[in-house]
Amino acid sequence: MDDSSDNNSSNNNNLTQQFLKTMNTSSGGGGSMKRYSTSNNNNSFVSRNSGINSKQLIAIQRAIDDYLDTDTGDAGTIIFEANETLARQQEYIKQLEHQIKADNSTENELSTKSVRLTNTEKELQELKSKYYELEKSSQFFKTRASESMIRVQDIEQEMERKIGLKNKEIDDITSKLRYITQSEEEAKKRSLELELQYSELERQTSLKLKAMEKEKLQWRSEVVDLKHKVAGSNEEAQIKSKDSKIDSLNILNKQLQQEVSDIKSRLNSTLELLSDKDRQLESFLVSKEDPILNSLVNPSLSNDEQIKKLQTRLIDSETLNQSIKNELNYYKDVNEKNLKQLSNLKSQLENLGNIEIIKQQNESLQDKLARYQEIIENFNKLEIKHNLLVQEKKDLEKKYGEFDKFQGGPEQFLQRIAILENENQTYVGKIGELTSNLKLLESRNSDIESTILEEKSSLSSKNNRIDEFIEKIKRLETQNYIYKKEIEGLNKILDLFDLDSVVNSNAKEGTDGGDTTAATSDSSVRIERVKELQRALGEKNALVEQYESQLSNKSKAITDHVMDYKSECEKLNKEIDRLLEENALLESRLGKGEYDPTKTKVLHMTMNPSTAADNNKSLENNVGDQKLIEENHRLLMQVNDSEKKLDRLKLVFKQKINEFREGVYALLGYKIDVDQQNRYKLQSMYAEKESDYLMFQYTANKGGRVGNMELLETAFTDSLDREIKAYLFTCKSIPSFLSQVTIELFSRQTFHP
Amino acid sequence: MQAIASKSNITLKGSTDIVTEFFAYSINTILFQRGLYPSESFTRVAKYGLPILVTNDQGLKDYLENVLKQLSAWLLADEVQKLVLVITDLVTKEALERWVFDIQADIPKEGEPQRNKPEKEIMNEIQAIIRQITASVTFLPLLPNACTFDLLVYTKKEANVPQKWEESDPKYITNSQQVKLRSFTTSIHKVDSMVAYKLNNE
Repeated sequence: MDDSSDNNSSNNNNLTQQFLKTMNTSSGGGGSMKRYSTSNNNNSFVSRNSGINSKQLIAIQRAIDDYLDTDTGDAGTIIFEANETLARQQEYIKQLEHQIKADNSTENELSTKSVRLTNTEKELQELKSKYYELEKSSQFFKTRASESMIRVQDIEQEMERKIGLKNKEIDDITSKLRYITQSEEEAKKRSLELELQYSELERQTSLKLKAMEKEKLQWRSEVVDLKHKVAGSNEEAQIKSKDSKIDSLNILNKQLQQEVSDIKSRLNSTLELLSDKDRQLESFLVSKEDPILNSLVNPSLSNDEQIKKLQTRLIDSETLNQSIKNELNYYKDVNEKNLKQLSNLKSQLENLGNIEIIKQQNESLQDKLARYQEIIENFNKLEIKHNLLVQEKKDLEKKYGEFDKFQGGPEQFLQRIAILENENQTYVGKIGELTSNLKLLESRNSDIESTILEEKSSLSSKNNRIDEFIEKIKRLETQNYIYKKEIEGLNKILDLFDLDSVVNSNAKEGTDGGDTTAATSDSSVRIERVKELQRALGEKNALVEQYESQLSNKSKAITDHVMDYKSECEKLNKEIDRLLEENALLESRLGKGEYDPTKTKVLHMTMNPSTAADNNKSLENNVGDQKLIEENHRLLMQVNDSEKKLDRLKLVFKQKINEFREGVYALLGYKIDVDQQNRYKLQSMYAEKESDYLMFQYTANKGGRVGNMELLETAFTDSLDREIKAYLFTCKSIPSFLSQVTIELFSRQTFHP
Repeated sequence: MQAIASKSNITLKGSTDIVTEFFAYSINTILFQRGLYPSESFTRVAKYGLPILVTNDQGLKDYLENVLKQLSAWLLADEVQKLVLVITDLVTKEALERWVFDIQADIPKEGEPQRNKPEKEIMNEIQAIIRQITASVTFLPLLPNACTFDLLVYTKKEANVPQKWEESDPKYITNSQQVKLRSFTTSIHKVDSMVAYKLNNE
């Protein structure tokens, strides 16, 4: 039992060892995990890890199975132990699984970290590459700097060599100068000697000249002597010989003078030379101020040209020296620049060392870039807007170019429009005023006309009145006349009576003379009667006058009355009209049967025919009949409605058809009428005559397809060109034919007026 | 009749008789002309120098007799203003025609001299009206098949309503057209006639 248990334990140990081994391998896997974390291949690791675990489990299971197979004895305990171990192992496995999970999570974290790291690494690499580039550039600059340094050194060396050469040349020049000063001194000595010689020669010549003049004087005295001799005797031959002697002497004199002039010229030339030399010396002395040439100041009057050459050379060397100095300065500057560049590069290198700063810079730059992109977009948009506005402005300028002349701009244009509108409004107002004035005047005119008519009528009536009065007056006058006549008659009668009375009195007197008093009394009575009669006449006359005045008054009153009557008559006429209207209204109302319910009531017999008919109907007429009648009514109403509808539809169709035809006419230029059945009459908008029309016959196709149109011959079709007809007959296209006709007619109207 | 014709003096009673008789014949003429009753129910009678068709229908005869009797009573009492014959549609009860006879009475007072008007003249006037009624068929619109009529009497407010009578609505025509006919007078009663009809051209 113990053995077995030992065995068991040993087996268990084996198992655990095995397990631990496997775990080790797994942990090895776990160890490798860290390595993997740096790499991107994490998933594969996990899968493999899990694979390992499952394999391990299977291996353990197998081991247990083997163990169980091999050792079947003491199975209970063993199994129990085995189970325990198994349970333990399973717990362990669970723990391991947890661990694995934890590992996985950490792994994931690590992977994310690794990703980040890789990213940073990439960035680092990028930065490194940048750094390398910068380094390269710095190295390049360094090499360039070194090269330039070398070049500068070379140049310096060359310069030094050149300077050496120049110094040598200068030495040569100084030695030459020395030689020149020596030769100059010699020249001075020689000049002094020549001066001495010249003074001697001068003296000699002056002496000779004195001698010559003495001779001349001698010869002249001889000539005078000879002339005296000739004058004393015939000494012509002697004179002639003397003349020749004089001539020869003159020639001698001339020769001598020439000699003198020669010597003089020579002297002058030597003097000139001397002065030249002096000048050269002076210049030399001036040039001597140069420190290099100080030592060279030696009297050397002999070789001027050499001095000049040397001077020129010296100047050249000086210029060369200066140029070299300039070059030196330039190279120094270059060197300094290179040094600066170097320092810059060094600082850049230092900056490169700081990756984070670069990163930040990078980010800020990216942000800036993004912002700049936005800004650029905005800028582009604004540019487009600007262009659009410019175009608009141009258009507006084109449109309102006229107004731009008036220092335009839309605002001023608007102002002008507003001003014009105001003016327009004022004009409209004026027009309204004028029209109102016109209307007022018209109404006044009509009023005046009516008044004129009235006045005319009143005038005529007055005239009539006047005529009447005149007639009356005439009548009265005739009456008056008649009265007067009567009075006259009465007067005559009275006279006759008087006469009678006189005769009677006379007769009485004749018969009875004492009755004179009676006669006189009689006459007095008569006189009284006459007087009375005259008074009556006067009264009558007064009456007549009164009548006349009354007449006139009456005439006036009558005219007034006439006026009154007229107005009254008008009023009455109006009243009559009003009453007639009222009457008509009332009659119409009466016709309707209106009545005054306060005074009148309407009665009818209760058993009147209509009620009887109703009763009859209700009794006799079937309900069906009534229904039928009602239906009939209903149907009649329907018919009415439908008729109305039909009429309305007809109207609408007519309108629409007209509209359509007008549209076709306006768009296609042809007025289309359906002339007869299936015949279409087309008249062009540009037709010259009423008879210029096209006639098409429509033949419907069987099977509901679109039918054919055939052109029928008219006078107009005969007049058309063959080219136009060709569209129809060869191309078989009616629309093109029609359009060609249109174009033809249009061109005829437009271009050949 | 002969007696009236010979006389030229007109009394209230005589005038009332003339007017009532005129109403009887004119109503008969209208009913015949407007075809409210079958034409075979009418018989020809000579009156006013005209052939006038009078109904044979006993019911109608009785009705007219009743109405006219009452009317003559009102005429004597001077209580009647109008007699109206209204033709209505039997189904819709709509008034289609109104024959209006306006009556204006000028009743002589006590002690007033008797009025004279030759009988012949009055008859001529009535004849003219009957002729117009006959002729009015030419312009009046056709009546629909089923129509009936009613007689309305416009009386004074104080007139008493006899048995078998009642107040009625005036049966107006909406959208009507009037034609005035002639009038006649007996010097006591003046009768103006007029026809109003419904216009159909909506």
